[in-house]
Amino acid sequence: MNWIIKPGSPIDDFVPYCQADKPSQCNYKDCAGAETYTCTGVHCEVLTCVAGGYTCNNASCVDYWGQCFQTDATCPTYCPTYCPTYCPTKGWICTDGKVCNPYTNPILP
Amino acid sequence: MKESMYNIWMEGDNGAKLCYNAFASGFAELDKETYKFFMKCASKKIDPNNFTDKEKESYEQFKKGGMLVEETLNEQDRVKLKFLQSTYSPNSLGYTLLPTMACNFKCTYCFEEQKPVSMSREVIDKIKEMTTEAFKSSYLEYFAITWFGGEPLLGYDTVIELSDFFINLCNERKVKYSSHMISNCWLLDKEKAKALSERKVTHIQATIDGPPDIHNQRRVLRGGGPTFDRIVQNVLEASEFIPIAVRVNVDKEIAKDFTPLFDSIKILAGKKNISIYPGLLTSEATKACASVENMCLNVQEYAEVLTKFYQSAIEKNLGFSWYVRSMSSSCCATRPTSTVICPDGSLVRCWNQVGQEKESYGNIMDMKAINGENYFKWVLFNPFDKEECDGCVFMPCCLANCPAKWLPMTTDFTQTDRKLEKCASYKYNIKDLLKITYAEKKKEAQKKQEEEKAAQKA
Ligand code: SF4
Ligand code: SF4
Repeated sequence: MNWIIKPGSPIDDFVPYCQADKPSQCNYKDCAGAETYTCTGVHCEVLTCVAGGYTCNNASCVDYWGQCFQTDATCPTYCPTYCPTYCPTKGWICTDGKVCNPYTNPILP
Repeated sequence: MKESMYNIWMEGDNGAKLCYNAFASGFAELDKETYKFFMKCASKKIDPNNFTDKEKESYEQFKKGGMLVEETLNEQDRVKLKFLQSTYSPNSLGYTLLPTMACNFKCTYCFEEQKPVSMSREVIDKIKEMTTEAFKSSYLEYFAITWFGGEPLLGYDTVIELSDFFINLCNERKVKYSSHMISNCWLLDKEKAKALSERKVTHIQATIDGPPDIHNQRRVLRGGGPTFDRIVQNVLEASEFIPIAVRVNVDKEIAKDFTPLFDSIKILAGKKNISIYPGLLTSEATKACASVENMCLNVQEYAEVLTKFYQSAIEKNLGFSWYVRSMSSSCCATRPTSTVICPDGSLVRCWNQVGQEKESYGNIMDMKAINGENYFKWVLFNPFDKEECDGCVFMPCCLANCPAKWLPMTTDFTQTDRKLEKCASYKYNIKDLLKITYAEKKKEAQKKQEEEKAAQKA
């Protein structure tokens, strides 16, 4: 069997992704030559990564479920990294006992 | 195992079969023997333990390409889940920003009602404030901007100011940033192209309306005057810094003979950082756009013309290629984490609604006063409740196509024969287009082989 165009589609085509057939046509500079990657307008992804996320250009696995960059009580509603406990009335409680601020996305009505 | 409902089969060369799978988006050539084996795998209870090494390899490839799926898998459910995950994922934020409604062109078909409003200081500051707030979400991974207008380069200072602000924010929070711009390219000199590239504008979409004599009648300067040569020149120069996608609008007149068009854009074809693709002129957007109705093609006519476009391009060795991949969500108009922000701060969902007050769902200066009717019909758009699309082989790529064609609008859209127009054009010509791609790829592979042989000899 001969692949004329290899299968693969980005996990998230949040922005229109490029339809390059070969790495040299790819608009995203880090993608060049990475022939196993699906080329998107933003980045290159492999669909499977043992750590549960995806690998980009052999660099690192990004946690697919999002990361919390906060280290203090400013962390928003859902904060699995620093707030392991969920309290129905208070929201997420961080390990140091602080409560995460409820977060509302300002572009949502 | 069973055969995927998203397989599309065609005849290849020398008795081979070609298979495109609309979910996995792969396109394969199967020789007679492999095709026979595929059919065996798809129709019988098979035991992979008894396969030869070659069969094992083929079997894995069938699965990888989505051509062969588990008996119990409901493939439509899988597409639906992918759609829901992506549409409602909080990991992305996207704005389409219009730094100005002003335009230095006066195209005959333009759907925007021309109001020369530029983004005010209050609106710019409010966008910054709102974005800073949105970046408090721990889910956020991607932030994408589309610069739109009017002509966004007439609001160049706003583009630079906001880009710098967004990029800083993304760097601080390790969020991936990207942006692209839709511009007429009249003002796109080298200096601006370089500055935009430094502001992570990953590509710019330019538009050409046919060969110079037609283009210069339609895409005219506001004060009168031709634009073709300067657009082409600017695209060439700017492509040194930024990839440019040149959309070539096609209508009944241009489609009569592609030769003059191809001759005039030959200078752009095959250049690094420049891609060329055909676009359909639609008369559906607004009353203003209805002025071009007799020039526009309907989707079926467009499909025919598109086949001719790629065929002629190949004959002329222009190296254009066509392909469609599956999508995980409909357009940004349906994603709650995306919005279009007009220069006066008013918010709309779809690009075609820019400047249409009746379709606006609010204003960023007062996010509490939202017009629910104009908002929720978009973000709850469901491609899977459309009777016409149920079981359609194109669903993973098309997802019911443009939501605006299904949703009830407040504005008086012209909506001629909307039922006919809903489907994506490739529904009518995918086999022809894929065969062109097949021929083109084979030619490329052959050329590569010959080059390798020659190199070895040397
Ligand atoms: S709804 Fe249709 S017309 Fe509007 S932005 Fe989306 S794809 Fe474009
Ligand atoms: S809009 Fe047409 S082509 Fe697209 S999924 Fe529906 S029926 Fe298929």
